[in-house]
Amino acid sequence: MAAVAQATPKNDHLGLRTDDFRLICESGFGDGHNGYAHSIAWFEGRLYIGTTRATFTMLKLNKPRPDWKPWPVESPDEREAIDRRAEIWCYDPQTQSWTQLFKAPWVEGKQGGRVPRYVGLRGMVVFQGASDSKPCLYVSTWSPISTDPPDILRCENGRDFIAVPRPPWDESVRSFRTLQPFRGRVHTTPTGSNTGDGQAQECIGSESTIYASSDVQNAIWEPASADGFGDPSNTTVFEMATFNGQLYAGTVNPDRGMEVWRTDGDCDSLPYRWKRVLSHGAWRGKHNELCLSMCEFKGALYIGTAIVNGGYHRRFQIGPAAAELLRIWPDDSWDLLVGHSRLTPDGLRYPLSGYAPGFDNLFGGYIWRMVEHAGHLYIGTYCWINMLPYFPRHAWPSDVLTLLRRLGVEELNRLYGGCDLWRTADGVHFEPVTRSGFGNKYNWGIRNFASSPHGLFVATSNVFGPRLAVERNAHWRYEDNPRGGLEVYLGQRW
Amino acid sequence: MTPPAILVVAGLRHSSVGRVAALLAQRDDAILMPELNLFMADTVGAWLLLVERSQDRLGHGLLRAIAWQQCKEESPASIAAARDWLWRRSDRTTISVVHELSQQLAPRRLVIPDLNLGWRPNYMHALSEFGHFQMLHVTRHPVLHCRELTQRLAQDYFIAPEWRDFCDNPSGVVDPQIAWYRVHHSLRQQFASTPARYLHVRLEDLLAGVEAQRTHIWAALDWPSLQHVQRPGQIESAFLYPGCEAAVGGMENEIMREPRLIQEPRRDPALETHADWREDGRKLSKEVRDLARELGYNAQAQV
Repeated sequence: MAAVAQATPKNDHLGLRTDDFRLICESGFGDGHNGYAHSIAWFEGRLYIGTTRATFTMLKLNKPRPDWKPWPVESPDEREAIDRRAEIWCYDPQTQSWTQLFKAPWVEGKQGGRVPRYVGLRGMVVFQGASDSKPCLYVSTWSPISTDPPDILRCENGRDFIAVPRPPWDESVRSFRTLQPFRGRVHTTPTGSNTGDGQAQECIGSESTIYASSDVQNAIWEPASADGFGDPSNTTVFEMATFNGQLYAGTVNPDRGMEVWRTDGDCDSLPYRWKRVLSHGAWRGKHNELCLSMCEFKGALYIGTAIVNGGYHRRFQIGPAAAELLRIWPDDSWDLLVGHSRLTPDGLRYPLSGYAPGFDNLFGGYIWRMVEHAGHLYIGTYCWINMLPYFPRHAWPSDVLTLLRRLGVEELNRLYGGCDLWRTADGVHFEPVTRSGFGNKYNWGIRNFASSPHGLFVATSNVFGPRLAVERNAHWRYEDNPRGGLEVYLGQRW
Repeated sequence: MTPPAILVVAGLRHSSVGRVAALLAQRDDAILMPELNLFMADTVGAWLLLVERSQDRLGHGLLRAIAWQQCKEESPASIAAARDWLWRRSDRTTISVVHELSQQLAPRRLVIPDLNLGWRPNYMHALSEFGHFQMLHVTRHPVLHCRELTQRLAQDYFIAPEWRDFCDNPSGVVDPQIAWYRVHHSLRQQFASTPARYLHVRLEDLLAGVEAQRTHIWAALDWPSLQHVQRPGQIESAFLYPGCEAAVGGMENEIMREPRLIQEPRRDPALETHADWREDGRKLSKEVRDLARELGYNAQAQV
């Protein structure tokens, strides 16, 4: 019989430490194919998590296929040999138990056979549209190329998820991510595309228009921006957030580096008028290819950057390089908090925290997610170091090769394996909560947060299940990995 | 007995920080330490890990200081004993080691040169947590300093990550004015608001009158006046020279070659001059010029 949860933790305002976190979900809800806690929301007193499944299986079938030997996770050559249907799980803190509420249906594929309607659920938001009688949970989805483009799922009663029509995007759009409320509308934009068999790009949309709707249920969508803000090199609008009464949007720009735009939304009809706030990857260039995460905290908007595909954009050959953390003030001035010093047209910038990119970790490819909880900003990273044994090494930067020569793959993995979680009360002084994926090096990323009255929920990305390639006596073989699959932690300081 | 407040002499490399520390420690109630770098980690265990992984000689100074304190000599055996002494304190804070050294060497005050403090808020925060300190912030004119930094960095075999340019020229070093600004701006921000423990000195002023300026600094630090003091040219400390093969470092190489400050007249170039270490011939950045003025460097050349 499940225990009853204690009341609200009293000391979260002092900052959560490693020991304040406990594991409340392991091994991808018992299925190692659940590798990504891709979306999260706190809704009517319960936690909701949407998964994306078997990403390495999908990647193995992409073209060009990454040159990894052996393939890190046992993956069949037939895409549908694994059940990739995305799931939604719900955690009730009163009973401390999980319930699966949704599993994507099988549908008839365009080339025949059955295919999952959704393979991933990349975003969640609580929003009340014009025809909603109460706030509802909306979920953005990811659909395979062999079926229709992705829809939006709507949940009113906390149990049932019904598909509502998508924005008017074309067949090549395969996934979308952010659902951002602002001035009575919710805003979204495509973030994944597929232009043919094996041509999937999960972080590059085939169009880069922001769509807005005040009535999602009835699918009344209108463009809220020009495509790429009028610049084709802004290939995708990847992330959005509200700050200082304005809507901010960050792009993917493989030519010059990411841009950040804002609008006050103060116009009668769409599209909005937009102003560019940051460009050229905050003058770092392509190594800040992507504006990946945004979070308002104590009067500034914090921005996490990245390079697409985990720090190395294979198609555009950008990187590898680690991520930076910036913040933008209401007057559009900006600070570099974690990253490389540089002289920019906006002035000299050095990392105010003192940390180099990736929080001093060459392998920290993303500043992936941020959240404010009890007066602290929590920052989750992605670290690809546990992929080292499988990677070709000819294209690595000299820093990585130097480290590898000095320490070796095993030692590097032991020292740096697993993602980081950091916290700060002022954006300058940072404390590590964990630098080892909570002791599980297969947690390669902090994928989502939910701040709640019960504490801070932290959900990981962990794609190293259910069976991992392991080297034994100079031979590789696949073995069960009991620590593979996404994990969820609850942080509470009593 | 409460030991006197330690004096941390902080600045950027190639600005004679170690020489200034040696000059000020040249009195019976003070003792020169090498660069301890203790504020770079929270615990002794973390510090040991840091210096073990570093390609630099970050740990040599502390090992030498402990070897002298514990064994009264420097040798591979005493350095090994110093390392053991630290390992036994792995779970303690680095601040506690500063306290312990300070207690053991009391009533003499520790004078500690530090070239890393300004690089990171965490390091400065650790010193602030220690509490019982005075800070002497040493600066050089940015144009002269950056010229020398450019020259020196071009000769260095090992370039620390902070000095590498990962943005404009990944194979090269960062424009040294960035480092100049970063370190001095950070030190000012962290410490200048507490004038009771913070003192800024321009190296050029010190070089213009070494003995008189030393007396002035001692007075400004509120140290007791002395009947007899050694001449600046008579500086002596084992830490001003290379250590044994187990821990060679502890001071900048140039200071180990010439530990004395050489008096010279002040000749400041104009702040508006071209940054001639840059190929594009741009001026110093506005932030650097503004900070230089705040630190008392004039916009016009002084000849």
